[in-house]
Amino acid sequence: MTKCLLFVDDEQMVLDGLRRALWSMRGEWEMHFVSSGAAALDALDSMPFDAVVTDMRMPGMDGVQLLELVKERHGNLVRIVLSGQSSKDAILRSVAPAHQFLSKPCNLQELKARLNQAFASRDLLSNQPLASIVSRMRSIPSLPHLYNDLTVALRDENTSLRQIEEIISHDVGMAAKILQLANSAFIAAHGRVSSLHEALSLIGAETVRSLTLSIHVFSQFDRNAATAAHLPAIWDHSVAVASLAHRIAITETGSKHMAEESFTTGLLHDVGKIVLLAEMPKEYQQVVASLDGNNQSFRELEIKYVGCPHEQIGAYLMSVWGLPVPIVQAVEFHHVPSAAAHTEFSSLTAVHCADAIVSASDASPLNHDVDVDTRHVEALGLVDILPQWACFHEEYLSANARNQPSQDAKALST
Amino acid sequence: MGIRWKGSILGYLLAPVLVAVALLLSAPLRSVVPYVEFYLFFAAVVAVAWFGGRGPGLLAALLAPLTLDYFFLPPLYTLGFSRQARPYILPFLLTALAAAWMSSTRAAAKRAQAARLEDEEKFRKLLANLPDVSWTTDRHGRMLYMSPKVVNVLGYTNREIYAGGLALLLGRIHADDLPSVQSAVQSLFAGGKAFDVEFRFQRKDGEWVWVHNRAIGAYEKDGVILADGVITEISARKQAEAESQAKTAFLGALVNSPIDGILVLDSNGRRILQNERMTEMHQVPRQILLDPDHRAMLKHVLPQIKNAGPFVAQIEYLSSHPEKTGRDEIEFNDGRVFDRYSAPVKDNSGKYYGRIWTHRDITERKRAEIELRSKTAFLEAQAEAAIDGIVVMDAEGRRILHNRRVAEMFEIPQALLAGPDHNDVRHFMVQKLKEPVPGLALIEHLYRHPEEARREEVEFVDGRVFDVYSAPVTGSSGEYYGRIWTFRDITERKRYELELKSKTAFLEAQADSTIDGMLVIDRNFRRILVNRRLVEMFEIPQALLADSDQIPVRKHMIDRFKDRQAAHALVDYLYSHPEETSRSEFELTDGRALEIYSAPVKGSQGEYYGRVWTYRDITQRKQYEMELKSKTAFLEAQVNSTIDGILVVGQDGHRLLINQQLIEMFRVPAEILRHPHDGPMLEHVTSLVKDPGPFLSEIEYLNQHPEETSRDEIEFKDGTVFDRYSASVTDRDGKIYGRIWAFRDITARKRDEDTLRQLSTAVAQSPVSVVMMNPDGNVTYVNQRFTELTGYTFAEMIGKSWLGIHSDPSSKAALADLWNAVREGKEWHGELRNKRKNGQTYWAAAAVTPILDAKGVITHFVAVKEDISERRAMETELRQAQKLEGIGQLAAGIAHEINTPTQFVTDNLTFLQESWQAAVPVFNMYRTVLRDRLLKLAPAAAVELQKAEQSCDLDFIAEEVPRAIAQSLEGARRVASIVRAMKEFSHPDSAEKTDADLNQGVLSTITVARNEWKYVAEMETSFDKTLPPILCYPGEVNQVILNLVVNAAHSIKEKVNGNGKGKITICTRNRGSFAEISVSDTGMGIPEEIQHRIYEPFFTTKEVGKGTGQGLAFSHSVVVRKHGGKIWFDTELGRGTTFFINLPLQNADVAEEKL
Repeated sequence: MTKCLLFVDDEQMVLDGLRRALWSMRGEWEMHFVSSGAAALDALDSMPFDAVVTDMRMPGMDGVQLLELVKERHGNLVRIVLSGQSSKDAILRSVAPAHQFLSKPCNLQELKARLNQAFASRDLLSNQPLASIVSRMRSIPSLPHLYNDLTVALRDENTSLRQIEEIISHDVGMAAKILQLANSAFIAAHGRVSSLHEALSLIGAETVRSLTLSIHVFSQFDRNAATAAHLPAIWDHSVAVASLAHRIAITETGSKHMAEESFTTGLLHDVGKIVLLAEMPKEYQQVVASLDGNNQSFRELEIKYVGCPHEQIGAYLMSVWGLPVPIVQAVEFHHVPSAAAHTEFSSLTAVHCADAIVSASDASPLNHDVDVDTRHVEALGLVDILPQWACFHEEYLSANARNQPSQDAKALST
Repeated sequence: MGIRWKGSILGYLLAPVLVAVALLLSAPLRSVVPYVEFYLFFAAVVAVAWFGGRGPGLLAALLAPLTLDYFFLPPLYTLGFSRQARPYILPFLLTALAAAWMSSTRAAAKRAQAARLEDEEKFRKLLANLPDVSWTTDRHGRMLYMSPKVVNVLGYTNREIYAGGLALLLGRIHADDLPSVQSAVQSLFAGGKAFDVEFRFQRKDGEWVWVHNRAIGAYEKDGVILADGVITEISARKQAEAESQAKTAFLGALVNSPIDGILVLDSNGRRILQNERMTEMHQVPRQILLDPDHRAMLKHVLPQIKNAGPFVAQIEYLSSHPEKTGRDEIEFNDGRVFDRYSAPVKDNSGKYYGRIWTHRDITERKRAEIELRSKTAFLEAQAEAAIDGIVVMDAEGRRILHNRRVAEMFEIPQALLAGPDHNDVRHFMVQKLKEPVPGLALIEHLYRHPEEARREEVEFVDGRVFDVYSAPVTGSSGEYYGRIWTFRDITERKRYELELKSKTAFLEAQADSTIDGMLVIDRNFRRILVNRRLVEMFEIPQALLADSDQIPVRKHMIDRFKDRQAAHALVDYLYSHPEETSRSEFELTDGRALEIYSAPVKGSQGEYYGRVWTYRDITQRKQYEMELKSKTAFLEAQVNSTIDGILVVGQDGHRLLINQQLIEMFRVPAEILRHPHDGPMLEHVTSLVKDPGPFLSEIEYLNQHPEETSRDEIEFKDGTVFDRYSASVTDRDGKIYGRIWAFRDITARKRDEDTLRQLSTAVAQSPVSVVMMNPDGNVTYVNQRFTELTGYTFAEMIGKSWLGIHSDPSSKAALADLWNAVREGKEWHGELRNKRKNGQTYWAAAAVTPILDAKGVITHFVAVKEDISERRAMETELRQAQKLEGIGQLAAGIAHEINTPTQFVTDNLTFLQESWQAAVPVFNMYRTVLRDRLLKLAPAAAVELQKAEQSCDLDFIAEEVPRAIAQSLEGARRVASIVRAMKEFSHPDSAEKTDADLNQGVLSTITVARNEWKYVAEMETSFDKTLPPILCYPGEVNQVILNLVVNAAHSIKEKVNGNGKGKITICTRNRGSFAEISVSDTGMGIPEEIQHRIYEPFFTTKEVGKGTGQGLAFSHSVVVRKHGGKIWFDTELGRGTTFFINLPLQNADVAEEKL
């Protein structure tokens, strides 16, 4: 299916260059080139597009303004900035309306890869209107108390990056947003960032502060939403899975990078649920309500009420945001890793196993959505080790119970 | 005769012997020389004739032919005159005769010679034995002969005279005699006249001798003119001659010189001698003198004589008694008197020659005698009449005169006086003296010194005192006749004198012993007494004092008075009122003050004798009075004007003095003041004192020890503090009158002292360095911090120039500015680069402030300094960071500008590449298809196409275009990578630490710095892929690496110096807890002496303008301070240097991480 792309740049030669360079994509992509924001809006109104790639600095309407309008009017488009401007400030300003930021000179292979990934994820979505919802999302809401913690922490000049990381590593939304920023082309010039720690280091505490306090890239859950009650469970689950996945990865591979990636992925694996809780609370409430005493699986219920399973939603969001492929894949296949055709231990494996282990002992029905993918586990020969990993979770729980007994209560009370 | 006979015998023997010898010799020789025998025999005959005489010669002449005949002439052995032999006989005989004659002639000559020699020798001996010296000389002065005796006369040996010749002799002749000797010599040789001279000759030994030299005349011998002469020494004769001449002259003079007339008559009455005086005396006419008969003379003389009878009778008597001498006086008619003396003239043997008459004119003497007699008589009469005893002695010590008074005085017995010897009298007189020995000594002395006069007072044994005067008696022309002694009895006078003297002495002593000037004047205004003091007082000249008239003295004195009128008035008044006494004060012109007292001098009956004046110098007293007054005034003023409270308390405890200040100080109530005793006052004061115990005990102590002084501080209840000083009041002799107490309010001073102490402590302990200087800039104080900061101690700095420690030339301008400012009295603030004692430099923020005294004169400077090296370093770093940031921002801007074209260049190239790749197969297809078809359809077009293809080299294009595109893409990528590296290198967005890929950082740094190293070095990197991102300030870390790379490149450049390339190796290593980066070069290495300084700020070895000296300092700071890492190096001189950097991977504990 041919994708329709719109390229916007005030420099005609850039447009010409792109047209020529992407000439080889003519079979897959239908490309239009316009030299101003206004022309772009006209074009978008005249015909459907899948993605828009725009320069930042343009006379009249600049890239940010254009993308804001595009987001309003044509929410399902993938919005990418391709700019010669490389200052951090510019990137930060574009963070809200743009999904991704690529800097000139851009290797068009990278552009292709990112777009194709986003398109692929979207194509998977069985409920296309959701795509529009997802791509409009500026941020994934955070737990109010974590958001509060963060703002409080950041207002204190003495707060260290580590303390910030401590807070963010407990929040799916913030973690996801940080990774999105970290993987913007300018910052992650040398490959994508899958480690939250690395991402924060790259961005720096100061930037996190301004992102949080002045640009408000993070948002918090509406406490009055019907689904708000479910949030702590999902959060605790996500953190538990992340911790376990981290431990599994480190014991299994010894690679710190793998461990970090596993942690991030673990934290983000159920990001789809949060999106759905936030964006489609009524529908998702139905799913949750239907879980008890119902023979239908979680997935079936999701498809029934929402239109597609949460992992697809999550994967799409992650890919649109330009997160690394392993994370997108892990989010997408964390229920059935064997579908990803991985032949060796990856973060997907760690997250899947962790999710399965954690879910098994989780009280919340919202989290009972996964079973061990025996095919995958057997293929990798990890069957015997699963009980040991389960023990890790036991240790985690007991440690957590000692340290944070009132976690849930606190979360609910705020 | 015997000898002659013997000679004859020998002569005759000689003939046969010599003939035989000739025979013996000729026998062997004949065979050699023919007829040798004839010569030999001929020689033998001659020899015999010569030596033996005629007889033997003839014998030999006869024997020779016979021998010849017998032995040599044939027939042999014919003993006789053979025919052959006969012709030889005559020649031999003639020869023998000739030889004999010649021999005898010679012998006769010899004998004559011998006889002559003998005669000569005899003569010579004779001459030699003569006492006189004979000589022979030629006209040239050569001395041909001189008898040896000459040595006795002239001192020279004859040999010396031969050598010296006549010249030697002439040279020794006395200069007076030389001309006559020379002319005599001349005439001897020239005129042949006899030579006879006497002259003085100086012997060789220097003694002069008289010599008589004579020569008969010159004669010629062998062509030479010679002269013979004799020298005789005549010194003795000459001496006798001289003596005789002297005697004769003496006699002549004797005869003619005396005042006596002398007449010598011979036995026949003929006049032999009459001297001029005689002639003169008797006025003898010339013609009478010519007549030797004395009777004519007598006839002339007789009428002149008064009484001719005795005169003639005397002559008669003496002529008849030639052996008698006679003496008488002759009186002439004209009054002259002659003393006539006559004596016989005899020789030693008593032979009578005649008589000598001597006449002496004694007219004058006779008259003098008469005069003397009359005078003596007068004198004696006078002497007799004198009350003094008089004795006159003549020059010989004989008593000429003595008067009766002497005899009475000395009680000399008449018998003794009649005696001729005065010695007895003198002895008698001396015995009367109390001390005879000095008396005798005096007499002795005076006789030895006849010219002296002497006056002595002599005491007699019986107590009388005599005034003895002795004077020489001299004639009118000073000739000494004798001595007169005068004796006067002064016994009475002496007694009065003594009395007066003692009284006067007493009076004078009294007058002199007073310190007042004293003057006693009698009623005639004559000065009776003036004491020394008065003379001194008025400086009265001695000349005025010589006379006792007081008038000039009084004038002199009154002239000294300042008010002369008043003085005159006083004097006039007192002399007109003799009974008045007066006392008054006067001032003299020189400022002295006098007190004058005058009173009359009265006798026991009240009679007025005169007036006594007493003058007392009261200048000193006046001064003391004045001084005392002024001192008292001064003291009172001082007591009242001082800020101190003063209290003087007498020994008895009564208050002597109290000033107003004290009253105010202690707020003394009036009723206490009224009380004269100190007690109530003390009570009052004690009540005010904070701690009365010590206060009172001190007073108690001082009362017991009145001589001591004390000083202490007293604190009062109201907080005021008084400085109390107490001392005894004593006079110079140490007498104590009381005690003075002085109180001073030192409350303010104490407070100031406390404040000062606090302030100085603050300064001393100040965390900033404080230096105080005098206006010359020499240090007077430094505080502890200064020492810590600079390393100089207080002692080291005192007196040193503050500038001396600021020798860092970079601060010169600032220092000049500083001094200009502070010298004008302004404060100065600024930053200085200073040196520590150890040579380290540091930056100091300094404030220098002049301290002014009350008049606004600068007395000191205070320099306050703070070490701001740290701050400066920080500032430097900040600047560096700002620079980086600037570069980063610029890089970002440029990047944007470059990035856009790079984007489309890359896009287009990509397009070209892809499209070319897509188009080429299509194109090739065209070619293949078209070529085949075209060859058939339009061969000409095909050929043309082929040509066109060939001309554009289509194959080359097909081959090169893809490569050109690929390389252009590569270029574009490189541009993009450089731009990205610039951005990455500078990290403009990383204000705080971020995780950074060190390897990437190194890469981008290498890229950025490429231009620095690519011409001098190869770059080699070795990256550890396991190195995780590290939390750091990437821009600064990159800057550190850049610095190291640039240093490495410079070091290599210096070493290779344009020849070849060195190598820079950069490695990263994961060392577990830290990342290690090493930058190695193959450069010069770092010399050991600067190794410890390379991290110092502003230290550089690069030439001016090339390096800031901040690179390594900055690097050190970034690595160590900001990242908690380490930086070090390995170096080998000439081989290269490796710098190592360690950056912690887990650096959560580093402080900088805090936000």
